Order: sequence, then structure tokens, then C-alpha cells
Amino acid sequence: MTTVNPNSSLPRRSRWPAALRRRPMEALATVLIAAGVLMLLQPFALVLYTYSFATTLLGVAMFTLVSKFPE
Amino acid sequence: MNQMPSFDSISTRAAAATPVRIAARVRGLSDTAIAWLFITPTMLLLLAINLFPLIWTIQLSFTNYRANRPNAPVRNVGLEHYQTILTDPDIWARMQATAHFVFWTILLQTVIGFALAYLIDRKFRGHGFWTTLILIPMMLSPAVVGNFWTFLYQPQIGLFNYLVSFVSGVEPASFQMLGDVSLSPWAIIIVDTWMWTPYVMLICLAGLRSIPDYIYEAAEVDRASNWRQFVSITLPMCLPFIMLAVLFRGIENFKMFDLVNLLTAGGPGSTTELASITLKRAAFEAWRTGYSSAFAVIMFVMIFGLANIYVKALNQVKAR
Amino acid sequence: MSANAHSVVEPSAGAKLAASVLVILYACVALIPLLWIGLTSIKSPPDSIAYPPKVVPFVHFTPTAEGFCNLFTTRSRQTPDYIAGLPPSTGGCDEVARSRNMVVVGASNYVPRFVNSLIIAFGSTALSIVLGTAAAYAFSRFRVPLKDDLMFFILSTRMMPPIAVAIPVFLMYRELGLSDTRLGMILLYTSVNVSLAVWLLKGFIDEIPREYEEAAMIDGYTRLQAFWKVVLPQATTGIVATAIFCLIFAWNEYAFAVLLTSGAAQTAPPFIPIIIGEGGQDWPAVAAGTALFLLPILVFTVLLRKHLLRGITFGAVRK
Repeated sequence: MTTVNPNSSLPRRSRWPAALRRRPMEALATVLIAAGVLMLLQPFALVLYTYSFATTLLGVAMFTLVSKFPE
Repeated sequence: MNQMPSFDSISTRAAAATPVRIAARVRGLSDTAIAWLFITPTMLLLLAINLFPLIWTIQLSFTNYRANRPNAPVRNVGLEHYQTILTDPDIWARMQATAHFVFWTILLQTVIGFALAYLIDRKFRGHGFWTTLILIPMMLSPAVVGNFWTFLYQPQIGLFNYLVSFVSGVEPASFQMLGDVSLSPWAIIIVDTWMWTPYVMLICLAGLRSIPDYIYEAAEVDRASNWRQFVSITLPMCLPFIMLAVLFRGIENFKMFDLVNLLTAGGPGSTTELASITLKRAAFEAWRTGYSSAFAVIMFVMIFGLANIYVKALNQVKAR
Repeated sequence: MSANAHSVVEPSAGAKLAASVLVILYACVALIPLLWIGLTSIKSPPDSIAYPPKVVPFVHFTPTAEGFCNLFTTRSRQTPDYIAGLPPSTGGCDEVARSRNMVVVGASNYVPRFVNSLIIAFGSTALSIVLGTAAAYAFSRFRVPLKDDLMFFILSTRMMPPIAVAIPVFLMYRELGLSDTRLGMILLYTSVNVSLAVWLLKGFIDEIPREYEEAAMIDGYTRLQAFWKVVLPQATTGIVATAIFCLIFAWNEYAFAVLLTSGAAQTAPPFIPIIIGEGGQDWPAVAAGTALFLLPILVFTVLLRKHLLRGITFGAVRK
């Protein structure tokens, strides 16, 4: 759902971009966290393991940040 | 029976009608003051014993500090420790040992736990009694019970080896669950599964019981087969509960220490050296405090991320 | 499963029978290790390592208190001549020891370790409940800024790997002189338990209707009096269940205990694995120590069974 619902609690004139709203961003952050954890534990490529920490860290930062975004 | 009458609707409405600022009319502390008075002690304790050490760990992770040489000069090494850990094939191998443990324990516990919950939900006579009995292992101290399992796993005298040989005919002294490189990863999986299957079972049971009867009745009217009911009603309705159990067991087993430390202490060699045991060896045996702090931060972040997802799953279940 | 005549929800008799057989089978297999702890604790050391295993007391082996004697005492080996020259034994463990050519030289460390476990478990539980009840009430009833973030922070502290937490706590306690003290362990366990206490108790307090307090306040109670005289009595069941959960955690905890205590404040879990007899582990003594240590938990599990689900899901699943 990318259109702004006119009945939502958001003020009408909110300039908040629809794509940056909480739900989709939170889903993306969740995917990043999960991807990082899988990269840490996978047995296939050392390079994925190397970047696992950065991926999850990014996901955690994003998750914390977007929880403050409007619905 | 089909629809739950909401008993609390009247009281909810009454509550909404009650003036919110009722406290302002009476003597005593204001609500805000009480709120802070009640929360502050807990927060102070957590700040002192959790947050402050966490910040200290992050700070130490950029240094070469060693706890056994408190007076040695401390040098700032930047991201060196993170770089070392995240490019070290040995540590990567430890992570794979952890992954092997986490994957198989979760798989076994979910399958057995869900099956048990499904069976208990048939509500046969005395199911409450047997459920309580099954729950006992998960309440016990993993360290103390794990220690006793080393006795059960003894090659000649252990009960586990005896029972396996009784069933399969293999000589009981011919295999060592804890001493053999190929068997020890499974030895720890068996004990963890024995201990924590009841946990998954209990949560799955709650999931099964949260499914209202009328859904099955409607399915029966539609002449859906038992298998079809299971796949399209039971499983999907239980899924949030199963996710909750899987996430929690995943977090717990990712940081597993007590059980495995007593069963194998990471051995033989380092076949069962899970992440927490590697960390303990680096921090409290090699005393590489800076290095192990970086390792700890990596584990913190992973678990913090998973905890975020876990709380999301908790809220999903709570909404049911 | 065949189609059911009466109710679709009620499983058929055949399904019930099959389910009960499988569940009882699982329960029996799962309880074998616990049964074995009990049996080993009343065996003599040679019986405990016999092959094939001796199972039925009085048939396969004669029960003895030797495991418990060895658990509570320290002994030294003596020559038969020396023992013959001693005054007659005082009976009990003295007698058992002499039959193995040993004399009792003193008490073991088991009782002090057990007492440490008791003090630390009850101390941290009491503290967690006091702090947790207050915080839970505030989170339940008042508008607290950043409530969700604070609640998540509180929960996340419990999820952290103990070994990772132990590194800075070890350094901090060394600076403060709290290493290997009961106070240090009580504070540490409280910080872990308080998160569970807040989450569980918030759930319990949420279920107490606000109207009770509001009625009391209309009758002239202050908010604090209403909390003390109305909410707390209503929350008793929840507080007791939460307390038992905290007790069990503190009782079972191993990682912090083994890293941060070594003597004066050491609890039973790190001690039981290092009970050593002559030539390796003294399994009857270990089993006796284990059995005594696990017994309180068995009682608590039965008491808690209605609230278990809530406890392990931080209060999210209520039924």
C-alpha cells in the first residue's frame, strides 16, 4: 500500500513520504537483521560472514529509527 | 458458543466515563511523580548493571586492554579487533558449529514439540498430569542436569550407551558420545532437545487452544478432509506461536553456554565450541579483553536485532 | 481418524487412545534421566558404574546412604590398622566411611554452597519483585514517555548473552570490590530478573480493573494508598507466580556464577560438577547433590503449572 490513507491519523498536510512510513521500513529492517544473522551462520562464503555484522547493525539502527516514524 | 460475548464492555465504558484527572482532586503525590518514583529504581539498576557495562564493552572493543594486566599501557586499536574476528576462518568455523547446533535443535524441538502439543490437544484422560510431567526437564538447571548427562554418556557404564546398544545391538563401549568428533555435536543436540522440547510444546499448545471451535465446525460443514483442515486451519493459525518459540529458542541457543560448557566444554578439539564458549575462552582464559569485547559487541548486536523481531512476534501473538 | 457423529471438535476415542499412548511413551522416556539421578544417589559407587546397569532397588542393588554421606563430608584414606585403633564409630556416615577404609575428616562445601544459592536466589527475587512491581504498576497505569522503548530496553537486557555481560561486570566488580560476594551476585541476578518481573507483572496488573483504584480514590485514598491497599492484594497471585519464576532463574543460573564467584559466594550449580571422589567423579555423591538441588524446582513446577506459559512468553500468552 503506497497511497496515503485520508482517514489515517496522519495530519492531512503531512509531507512524510509514503514509502518511508513505518510498516514497510520496519519490514525492510527485519529482513536486514535476519539476513545478517543468516550471513553470520552460513557455511558457504567467508565474505558473507565478514559483512554479516555490518548488515545486522544497519538493520538494528534502521529498526530503532523507523519505530519513531508515523504509521 | 460461536461468539464470545464481551463481558467487559460495560466496565470499559464506565472506565472511559470516569474523569481521568481524578487524582488531582485528592491529596498526595501527583501521578507523574509516582510514575517516576516507581520506575527510576529499576532503571537505575539496569543502567548501572546493564547499560554502563555495555558502553564500557564497546569502548574496550577499540583497545588492546587485558584484564589480567590492568597496569599495562592501553593502546587504541580502532576497528582492528572487528576486522580480525570477521575475517578469521577459525571464528567462522565456530559460528558454523553454532549454526549446526541452532539449526538441528530448533528443527527437532519444533517437530517433536508441535507433535506432542497436537497429541495432548486430543484431550485424552489425564492429559494435564502427563503435560506437567513432560514440562519438568525445562525447569531444571541446565548446568546441573548437563553435568549428570556426562555420566549417562559414559562409554561403558553410561545408561545412554547401554540403551542404544540394547536397541541397536552396537557394543556399548564402542562409541563415545562426548569424545568422538562426529558424535559430540549430536550429543549436545540430544540433551538440548530433551531439555527444551517441552518449551516449544507448551507454546504450540497455546496456539492450538487459541483456535476457536467454530472454524473447525465450518470446515466440517464444507466437508474439508482432516488433512486439509490441518494444513489450512491448524498450521497457519499456530504459525505465530511457532515463530515465537523458534525465535526464542534461536536466541537462547545462539548464546548457549551452560549446558554445552558442562557436557563437552567445547571439545573434543573445538568441534562443539559454540560462540559463547569461544568468547569465554578469549575473555577469561586468554584474557584478551579488548578482542573479546569486540566479539561480545558482535553477539550483542545480533541478539539485539533478533530481540527486536521477537518483540514484534510477541505483539502479534498478544493481539490474538 | 474417522468422521465423528457428535461433535467435530471432540476427537474420536481411537484418536484419544493413540494420542495418550504416544504422549505417555514420550513422558516415560524423557523422565529416564531424572529417574536415574534418583537411583544413582542411593547406590554405592561400585553399583553406580556396574555393567549392565542395576535398575531395581533391593533386587539389583542394596540402597545405601553412601552418596549422601560422601556429598556432605570429606574423607581421608587410612590403613585398616589405624582404623582398628580408633574409638568405636559414631554410626551413620562414620560407619560407611570406615567400611571403605576411610575416616571422616570434616564437612564438605556442599552445605555452604547450597546456603549461598538460597541467600542469593531469595535476595535477588525479593529485590526484583519490589522493583518490578513498582515499575510494572507505573508502566501499566501512567502515561510514561517512551514507554515502548523503555519496555523493550528492559526486555533486551534479559536476552543478552551472559558471557558477554560478564566481561565488563567482572571488571566493574573488581573495581568495586564486589567480586565473589553475595551482594554482587544478588544485584546481578536482580538486574536480569527485574526485566522478567516488570513484563510479567505489567500483564497481571493490566488485568486488574482501574475502577477498583478509582473507587478507592473517590473514597479518599491517595494514589499510593490505593496502590498499596487495592492493587497489591489483587495482584498477589501474579506476584507469587512471578517470584517463583525469578527464584527458579536465580537458582538455576550457572554462567555468571562460574565466572564471577569462586569461593565465598559460589552457588551450587558451579560446585556440583566439581564434586570429585577418589579416582574421578564420585557419581553417587554427584547424583545426591543433584537430586537435592533439583527437588525444590520439582515442587515449584507443579505449583506454577497454570502460569508457566505466561512466564516463558514474558506475559504475552495468557492462557
